[in-house]
Amino acid sequence: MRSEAEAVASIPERRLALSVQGLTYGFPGAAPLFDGLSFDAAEGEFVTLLAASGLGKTTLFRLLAGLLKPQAGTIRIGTHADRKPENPEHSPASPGKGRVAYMPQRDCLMPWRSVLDNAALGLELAGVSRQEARKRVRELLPAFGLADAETKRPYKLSGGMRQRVSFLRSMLAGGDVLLLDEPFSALDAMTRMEMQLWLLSVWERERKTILFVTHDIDEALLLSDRVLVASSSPVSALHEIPVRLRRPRRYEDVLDGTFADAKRKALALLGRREGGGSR
Amino acid sequence: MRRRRAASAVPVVLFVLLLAVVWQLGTTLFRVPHYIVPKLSDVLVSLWEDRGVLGRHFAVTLEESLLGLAISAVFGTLTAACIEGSKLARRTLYPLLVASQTVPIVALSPIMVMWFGYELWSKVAVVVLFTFFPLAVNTADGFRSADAEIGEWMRSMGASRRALWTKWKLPSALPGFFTGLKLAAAISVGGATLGEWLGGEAGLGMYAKRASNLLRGEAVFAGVLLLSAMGIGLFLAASLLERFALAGRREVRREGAVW
Repeated sequence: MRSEAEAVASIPERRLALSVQGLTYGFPGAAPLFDGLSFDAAEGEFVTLLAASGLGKTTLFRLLAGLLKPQAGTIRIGTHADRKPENPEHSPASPGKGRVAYMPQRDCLMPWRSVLDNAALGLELAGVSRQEARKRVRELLPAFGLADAETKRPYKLSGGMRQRVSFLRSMLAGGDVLLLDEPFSALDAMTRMEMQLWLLSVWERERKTILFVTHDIDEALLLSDRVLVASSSPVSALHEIPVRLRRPRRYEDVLDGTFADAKRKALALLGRREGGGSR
Repeated sequence: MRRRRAASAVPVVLFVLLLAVVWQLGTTLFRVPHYIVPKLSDVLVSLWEDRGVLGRHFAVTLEESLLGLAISAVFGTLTAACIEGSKLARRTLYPLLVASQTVPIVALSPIMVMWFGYELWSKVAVVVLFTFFPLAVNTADGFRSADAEIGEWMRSMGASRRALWTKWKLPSALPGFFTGLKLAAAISVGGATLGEWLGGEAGLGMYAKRASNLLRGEAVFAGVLLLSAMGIGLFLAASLLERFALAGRREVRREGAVW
């Protein structure tokens, strides 16, 4: 009884880093992509959106990043209570409060900047002086496996290294939520696995709120606390699959029975969309 | 790297030497009149004997070219930035810029003399007429080639307008700017020469024209040789500047094979 009461009492304590309510968006002249979509992510939670291609993942990220304005609904980022509800979209002109840090699918590094200066860009944009930014990046480079690459230009790096620089850049930009848009989709299978485990280790250390988007079921389940499956278009409701695997995770966890159950569930959800044949 | 670059210059040096030999032997064997094609040796002698005068004229033409290039670089970049920064400017300035190329610059040049007189600035103005277009258009294209996703990422991180320009657009436009600068450097000397023909008291173009009036073929060729050497020199200087400014970018290494 007592523990149950405690559990109930702890629910309001769950501080949301990201809260999306009734989000509606569609490009002019096309069918809507999102229709009354709601979801959230708690502080320090790793949430993955699992969706087939073409469901508007990238558009969703652009909405969350404030690059597009929702046609209806609200997007709340961060735990700041004083955000005005009538101005739900994050305005790029007013940085500081309730920001997301977006990591694009393509690394988008600047060819004229070294690894050090590329990674420091996020900090620079947040108003940190160049010297201070470099100092803070330098401290983190070894942990990101980039210690020897400090002065290298992006074209000299492997795909995995470029993604690590891109991740570091976004992480240091200092948002409340990290949005990762299929960051490993362009990597070969071995590098990809390495990067997934690497991301987990960074996340264990930093405990940032992460919203990850992928169309790879295994990746989604291996990384996340919760997987949200988008199974129909327009996306209006998400099916939640909690992943009850222990932390920290290891790659062998994919052989776990819990993993297989969750994967079966995800496959069924995604399969229903294909079998639905409503379109 | 350096040795390979030096080795790649061997064929062109040999070819130039071969041309020189053919020139010298041809004019001697076929007794070509000196006012048609002078012997190379006579041209070299003329270069040496007139070195004081030629040096002064060289400096004048070089000054006109460099000033014109500098003005074009500044205003070309500003124009390109306007075209990049404002939709209205893109729709008004850019088409006008392209249309301006249908106006024969040679026909416009006398107007420059009317406006700026017979001294230095009319020549500089003609150089600007020649060099403004390649600089403005290539720099504008450089701005347009900026990776849009990088800009979008920066905007999502709350980048200011200023940060977008200084950290993203300007560095992105540099390769285009240098393409324009190299082109402009190569043709700037031609502009200066034309300006001098239209009315001037000094400069290599004027020197060559005067020498041709006197039927001094070897002096004409001496002037022309120096003019083309100046053009090549300016082009190489622009390339060097480019290599320095874009050091470490992959693009430069690829096309950097020539120079």
